[in-house]
Amino acid sequence: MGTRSRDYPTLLTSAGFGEVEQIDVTDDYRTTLERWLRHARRLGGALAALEPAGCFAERIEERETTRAAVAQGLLRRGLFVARR
Amino acid sequence: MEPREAESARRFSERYRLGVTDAQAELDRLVFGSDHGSTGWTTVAQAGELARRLGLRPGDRLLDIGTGRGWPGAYLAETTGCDVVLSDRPVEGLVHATARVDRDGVRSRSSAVAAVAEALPFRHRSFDAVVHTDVLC
Repeated sequence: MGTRSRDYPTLLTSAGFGEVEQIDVTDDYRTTLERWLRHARRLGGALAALEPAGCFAERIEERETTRAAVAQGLLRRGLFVARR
Repeated sequence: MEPREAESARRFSERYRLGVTDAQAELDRLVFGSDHGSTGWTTVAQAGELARRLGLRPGDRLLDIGTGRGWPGAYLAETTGCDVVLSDRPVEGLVHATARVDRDGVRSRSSAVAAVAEALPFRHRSFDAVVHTDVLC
């Protein structure tokens, strides 16, 4: 969910959830980002035309930065399932 | 609303207003496995995992907070048979979410509510399960 995954289980338990499961999907996230970048570049013209000038290129750049952060272990992603 | 929050809300409204074009739908199918027009990173496999762990089944009432264009709530309603309330702030996304549930034949089991997560207009214990993906990030 973000870089402070330690906080989220605390948030859930403070909201009254008793059982909290955490599933790390960082590897999935990395491959999904890479897939998005690969296909977005291939479809680039058709996608960029839909947005204000520069927005699509900006998004590509942001996601490259995110991909690098994941690859460096700076960013993780998780699914959290909580029950009362 | 704080300026940064207002800018984020404006950008999402603008993106949702553009709709899901054929190119975007193709991108979504290739990347996430669905063409619901997600603006997050949850794949079909992960949505399925959430459904499995939550034990979603027909008759369950699911709330999707921050649903955008209906992902993953509309998909979970279609695949599990549960009822779903799709909620988010930008009405533009909910317009697409409503069209999507019509297309997928789950309109009778779904509804859309424009609301902010901090002040949801539902009674306590209105739902059996709640999902939110790529909201707290």
